[in-house]
Amino acid sequence: MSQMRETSQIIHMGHMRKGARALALLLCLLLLAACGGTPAGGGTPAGGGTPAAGGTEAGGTPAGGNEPAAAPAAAEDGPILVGLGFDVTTLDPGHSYEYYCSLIIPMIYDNLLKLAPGADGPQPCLAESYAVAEDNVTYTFKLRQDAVFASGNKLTSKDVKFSFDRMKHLQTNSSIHLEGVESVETPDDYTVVIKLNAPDSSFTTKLTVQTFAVLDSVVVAANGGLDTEAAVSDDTAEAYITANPVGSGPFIVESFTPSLEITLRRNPNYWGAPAAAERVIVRNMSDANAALMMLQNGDLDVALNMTPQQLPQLAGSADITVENVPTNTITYLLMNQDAEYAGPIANPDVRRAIAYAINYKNIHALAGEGAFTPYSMVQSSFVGYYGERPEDYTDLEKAKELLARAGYPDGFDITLEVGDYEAAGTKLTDLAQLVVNDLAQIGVNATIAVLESNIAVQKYVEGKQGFALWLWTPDYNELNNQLAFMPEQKCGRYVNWTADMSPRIAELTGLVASELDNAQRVIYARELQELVADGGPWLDLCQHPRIVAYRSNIGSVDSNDSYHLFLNTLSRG
Amino acid sequence: MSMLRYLARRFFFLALLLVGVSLTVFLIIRLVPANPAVAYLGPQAAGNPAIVAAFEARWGLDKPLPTQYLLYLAGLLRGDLGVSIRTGQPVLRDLAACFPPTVELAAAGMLIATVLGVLFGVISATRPNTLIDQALRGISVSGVSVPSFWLGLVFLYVFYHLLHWLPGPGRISARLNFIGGPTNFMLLDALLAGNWAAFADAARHLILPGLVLGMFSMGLITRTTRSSLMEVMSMDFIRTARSKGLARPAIVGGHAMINAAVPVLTVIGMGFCNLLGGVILVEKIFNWPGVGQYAYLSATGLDFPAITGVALLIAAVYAGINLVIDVLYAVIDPRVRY
Repeated sequence: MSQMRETSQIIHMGHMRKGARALALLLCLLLLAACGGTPAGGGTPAGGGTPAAGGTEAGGTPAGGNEPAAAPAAAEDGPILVGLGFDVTTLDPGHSYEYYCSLIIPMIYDNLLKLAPGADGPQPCLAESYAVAEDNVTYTFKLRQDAVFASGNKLTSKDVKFSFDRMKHLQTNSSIHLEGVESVETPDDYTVVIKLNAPDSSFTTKLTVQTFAVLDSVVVAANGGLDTEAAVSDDTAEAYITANPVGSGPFIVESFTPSLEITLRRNPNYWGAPAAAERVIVRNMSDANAALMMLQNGDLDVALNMTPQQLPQLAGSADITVENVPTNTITYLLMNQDAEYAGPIANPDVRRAIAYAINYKNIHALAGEGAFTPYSMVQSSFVGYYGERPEDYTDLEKAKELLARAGYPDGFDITLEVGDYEAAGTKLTDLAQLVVNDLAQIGVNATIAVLESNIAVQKYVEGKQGFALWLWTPDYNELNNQLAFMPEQKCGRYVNWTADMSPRIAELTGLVASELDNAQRVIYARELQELVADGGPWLDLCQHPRIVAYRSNIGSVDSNDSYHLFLNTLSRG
Repeated sequence: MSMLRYLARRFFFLALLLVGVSLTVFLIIRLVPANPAVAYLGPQAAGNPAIVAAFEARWGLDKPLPTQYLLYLAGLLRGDLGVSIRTGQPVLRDLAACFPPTVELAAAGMLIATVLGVLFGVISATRPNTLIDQALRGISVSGVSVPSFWLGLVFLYVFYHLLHWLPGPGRISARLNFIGGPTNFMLLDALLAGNWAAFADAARHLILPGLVLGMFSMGLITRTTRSSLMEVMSMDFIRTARSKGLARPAIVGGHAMINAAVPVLTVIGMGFCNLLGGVILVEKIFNWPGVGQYAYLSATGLDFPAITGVALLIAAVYAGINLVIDVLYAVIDPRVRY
């Protein structure tokens, strides 16, 4: 019996060797069939290569397209693909707030004034010209007469008034930009008169942001849009606006998946210079490593989400161009004025000590080439910028003296809160680690508490964060945006900073906001920054550069901190 | 008839399950110490009480909790899952858009897992303790133990970046200018459009994420097939079949495998459910616009209606798969009766 089993086992082994070989062969064939497609010697990477079986179909008529089927050569000129941490959830300017809204909204809508590639400051767009009255609060805009919406409706002053009034009454996140607008009048079809509550030196800059985009009032009103006070509760147009074109910009949206992808198609009826590319796709590539591989393989044309740590892998390739572009994104330390939350950090001498303890060189190295630290909370591109904090500002002895003067010769324990954010590719938790290491040098024992971002914001706006590391990207790029950090302003309140604590700073805040004489405004701004930098509740750590990496055959990559990138000039060379 | 009664009972419990899931999720997400108003408004607007009040009124967050839940439940009965705070679109419409990509991906993952898992399991079981058995067991253990985000990046690096064998992240090559169609199933839409290039390209895009997603289930299926088949192979009826002189493939395929299939089927069902858990990371790495990314974005954005919608969808899928597996038991094993 045992003999028989043994024989059977041998026979079975023999069968199985053949069987296994056959199976292995089958598996190999399956894998080859699956992986095939690029013939030997074919230089095109797999992602871009069209499989032999269907090569001629590659340019097939796209959904919604109106062009005949293109030859394979046209497929090579396919859409320009831009990868970044896409976060746009809505195409209704009335509800848009996310970081990359200002990349998309200006491409599908027009404003009275807009930013333009290679030009400083607001440029004429729908408004051909404007004048400011002597009262400094009345602006009169003359509109161009050839702008049309996707519906075919002509764009007139009524659309401007409707859009601004709707935005104001929606009471959404973007409505804060209209707080200073008292009225919008339309004396005729192509004249708009805007009256402000008080002089605002940043008003024309504000007009360039997505909040002031002009919508097709007839179509929006017919689909639930309201420009009265009832808009706050009864306006139901967002879903329609997101799904249908109601703008007059250089692109029309072809498809949109919130937070993931948008496909823009050239607007054939645009009044201005037509978009250079027929199609641009902006895609969320939350994994920077995968995006890097796509860029290197030629499947991604422009990447805005590369990290400073990836720079060495990008260097040295003729196929890829890398630019380090300055941004107005800053990271800073929050130090609450209220000792109940901040403990020793509420003491100005302790804050001065912290400013001396930080090793700014290390922070700049982490944030990448082009990083630096503004002396106070005003960025380098804004009027009134004070200048950089010198890299050798660090002075541990002075820091220890200040701590001793404040009554903490042996240091103290403190928690540094940080949200799970990134500032232009640099993780805030990495920055926090550097700060903790630096503070240890002067005996301050800081522990990092990483907070989920929503919980971090919640604590921030409740004014309950004692010591925290944050980032800030301005809503509009003008000095006045930074005044939010001052006493009793939006962010100033979050560190319990009242005007009576710093009366001169509070006074200067008002002066900077309303002064229209630039030279005088700069004087106010500089004094303000000196005072805040001297033991104030905010310590600027870094103004971050952004890495823009793109295939070298992509032309006119015009980046800009407000609009991020002018998608309408991108072209495949 | 008994089967019909059985199905009716299961559907009744499914409805109860969904109500339970909606209540649980509804309560749990409100325990998070963060306010969606603040999350959506941003730090500046969150300081304006009028804007916060308008936001809370718009999304019904100003009503008492029980009222909020009852309103949600009433909507649910009408087939209305509410409107997503993040996207401003009905949750049902959002899910209809992101579910097909995930189904496509999960189906590819399960197909790869099942084919490779059963194949490896059979080879291992019929050649126990040989080199090939050890190698396949090694692969199955790594499939179960290696995290998918790491495996995803490694596979991308090797098969896409270095070897150029397979396409990279995304559902379809941008150059094809094919943006999909009415069903949101890329393969089906390409077929409907008669666009074979798009079909082939979309199929190739499924391989890498499908493989990564299916690795865990493949490991489980390999191991279960191996042990189950080895147990069956040692039984008397197999020895009888052998002594009758039946060819080896006929014994394994015709006699042993059918008897070893019940536990394998269980694992395949479980594997499908596990896929749904792994889908978040795989979709993130492969830029896949599916339920995983939707769930992630909704959860991190405190989008209450969307989170509840996703939870209900996943619960329904879980229950649905379990039901299908239970019914299949009866088909495969005549001893099982309901």
